[in-house]
Amino acid sequence: MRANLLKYALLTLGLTSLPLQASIGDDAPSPVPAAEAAMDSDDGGNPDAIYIPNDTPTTAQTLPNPVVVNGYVHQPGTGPEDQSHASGDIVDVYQVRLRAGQRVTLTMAGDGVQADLDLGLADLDGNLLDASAGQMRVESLTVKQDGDYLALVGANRGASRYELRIDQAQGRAAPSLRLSDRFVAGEAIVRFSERAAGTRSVLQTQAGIMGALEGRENEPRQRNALLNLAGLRQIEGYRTLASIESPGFPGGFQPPEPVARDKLATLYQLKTLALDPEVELAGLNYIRQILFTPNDPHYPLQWHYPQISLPQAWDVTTGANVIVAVVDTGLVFSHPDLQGQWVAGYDFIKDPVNAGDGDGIDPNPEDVGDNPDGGSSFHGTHVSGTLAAATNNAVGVAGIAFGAKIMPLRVCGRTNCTDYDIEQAIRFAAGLANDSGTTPPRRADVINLSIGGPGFTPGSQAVYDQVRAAGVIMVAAAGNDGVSEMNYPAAFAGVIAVGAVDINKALAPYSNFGSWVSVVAPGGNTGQDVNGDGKPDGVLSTATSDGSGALVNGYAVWQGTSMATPHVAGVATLMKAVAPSLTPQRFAELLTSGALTDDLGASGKDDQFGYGLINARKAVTAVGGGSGGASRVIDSSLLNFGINAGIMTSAP
Amino acid sequence: MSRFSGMGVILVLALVGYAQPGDPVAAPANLPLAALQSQDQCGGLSRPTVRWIVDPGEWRTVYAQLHNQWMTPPPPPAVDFPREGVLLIAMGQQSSSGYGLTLADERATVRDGVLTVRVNWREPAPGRRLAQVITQPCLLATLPNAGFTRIQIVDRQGRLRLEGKR
Repeated sequence: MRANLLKYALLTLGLTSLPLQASIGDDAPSPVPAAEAAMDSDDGGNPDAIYIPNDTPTTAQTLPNPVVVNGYVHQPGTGPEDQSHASGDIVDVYQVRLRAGQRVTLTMAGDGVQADLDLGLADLDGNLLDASAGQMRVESLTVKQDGDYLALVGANRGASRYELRIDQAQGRAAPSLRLSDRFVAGEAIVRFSERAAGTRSVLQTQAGIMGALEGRENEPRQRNALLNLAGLRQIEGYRTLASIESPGFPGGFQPPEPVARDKLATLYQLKTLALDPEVELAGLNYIRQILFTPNDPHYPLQWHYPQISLPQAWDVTTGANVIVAVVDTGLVFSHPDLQGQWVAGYDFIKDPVNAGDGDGIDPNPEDVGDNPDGGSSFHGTHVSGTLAAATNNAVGVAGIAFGAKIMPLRVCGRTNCTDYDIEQAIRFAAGLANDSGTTPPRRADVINLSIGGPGFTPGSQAVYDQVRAAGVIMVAAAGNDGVSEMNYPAAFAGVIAVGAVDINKALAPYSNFGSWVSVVAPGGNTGQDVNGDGKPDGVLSTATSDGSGALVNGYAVWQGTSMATPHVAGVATLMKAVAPSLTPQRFAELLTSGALTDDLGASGKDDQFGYGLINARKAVTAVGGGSGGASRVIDSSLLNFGINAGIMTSAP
Repeated sequence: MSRFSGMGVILVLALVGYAQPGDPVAAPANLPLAALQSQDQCGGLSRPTVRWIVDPGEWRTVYAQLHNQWMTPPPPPAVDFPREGVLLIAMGQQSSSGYGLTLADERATVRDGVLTVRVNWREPAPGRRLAQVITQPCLLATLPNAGFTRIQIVDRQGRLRLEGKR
């Protein structure tokens, strides 16, 4: 047995099949369905099962979702002397309706090498869409689009029991070799085993003839070489190995496109190479991409974006075709970094004195002041810039969901922002009847409320319920008093309440807290410059000043839960771009499952950080998530991982 | 959106005298005040502050600090040092919008060496919905470099809000 094979075997010794307990927060908005348990219908080794073949698309076994399936597949002549021993049960085919963001995970009892199972997803015609074909004990695939699929479990070598789990993706996917990964078809990066000086194996010799080892004749140590697998197949040394190479995914499932077929063939050629005793390591030649880095000159000062893994999310989406309403002081339309970033909004300030623009509500949400002497904080402009400032335009700053559009809704005037005006604004944003007598051509998908205060009117909750029922995700600031008292509208049921952290991910000294806080995001602390960039560690965004009597547009760092809120609303906007059907309910379920955050403070939800720090990369990966959150195994007794006495007992 | 009228300073030297620091002023006198800036975000002023600035170097340093949250800080307004000085009044850190400072009177008084300045000390009414941004409101105003030794900031109702020394 080769050393790395032994390593694989040893890795299995710590594996257990403990039931997973569903993790649902106390205030989960709805019950999360537990995964159902199921059994492979043609498990020849299970005397209790009624034998029903499930080997082809037409005989696929239908599964619920989420689900945990216990099953068994094997190549002919391997495994116990059961019903299918001679003929083999090469593949199990399951039909299941999946949602984007769900993960299908195959855990095998075998070692993943001598007993090697692969996982596939195919359309209902059996066209292979993705495959996980490593030599690991765990293979997994993440669903990219909602739809009906065939989940395939195939025996590439040997025999093994397995557990197939379908549930919401949580945490990082297990390392594997996946068809959907970006790699060069027909190439492998190989390091040959060390040999005596001046000697080469047959395979090495042939690789040398192909030029893969050119100029290395006198090198004392092996180093990575790039092999052309197509060329390698022509040489004698490899043909010996090729006799054990499987033709492709078990059961003959193939992708329809030629490029994908080449990639699939590369995966299986790589498996063969990895078994060659002359090969120490073999891997794919992955194609790497540079994370999108905006060219906005102040972007390097926006530390708060890497803190929420935003650049990684930008490689997935920038929020195109999504509308986020900013219920605030209005907008400075002249700001150069907000040009082209908004759709029509409304001024909902009913009291002309509070409005300061000569009338009550009107269709112009321009920020004409939010203090009694006519000046303004231009708060809505700062919030809007964080959400969706024009980005990669070589001007100013970057915005989180810069492909989205802002719907400015003015509610904060010269004396305050009243509940009634706010309610009219969020109703307008949601496309519901309101005092303007109009609704927008297209309702908002997300509402940002970086405003708040204590107390509430009992009738207000119903308004927030109606807006939520209309499908709009509402995100609001937890408040800046450093206390646990509830701040509204953040504390209304159905609203995501956002606290603030500083650059060190510590709770900002001003941030409110409590069991009602849902999540935290960077709100900054302008009293420090931890990163030494010469600027206070606040949130940098578009800003306007009239302090000298003239209107000056620029960029400034501010702090507050007002600044944290658009980070969460912006991430929600990105999620809506990936999954337009994402509902407030589903957003809350994902949040409570931990799929959108990095846990901070006490494990799980806590009063300081809620469910943790919003993570844009995780969020866009998780969107459209499955019908359930965490799964619970009801009965895994048939899955014998054979951990007893440290002896692996996968089927031979 | 100018909130300030002219920035010129009319000296009333006949009433106050062109005093040096420490010189007592025998009789109450009025000094003209001119607002330079009133803003919500005054960097570094997390505590209530009143400060009299008569040195050009100090003025540049303080002004830069006040605007350190801006990516492109504006240049400091011209001040006719040493004929006049700059009075900095800061409310300290506040938890939301709704706080602010503006001049309530375009004249200050000096009596017994105490400069008294009336301001609109604006605080939001309790229970209001407000923008949840941390603010540090401050006011900058110029006035003649008169001979006062202490400074009092009072609101429109005459309540003492801040005190400082020259």
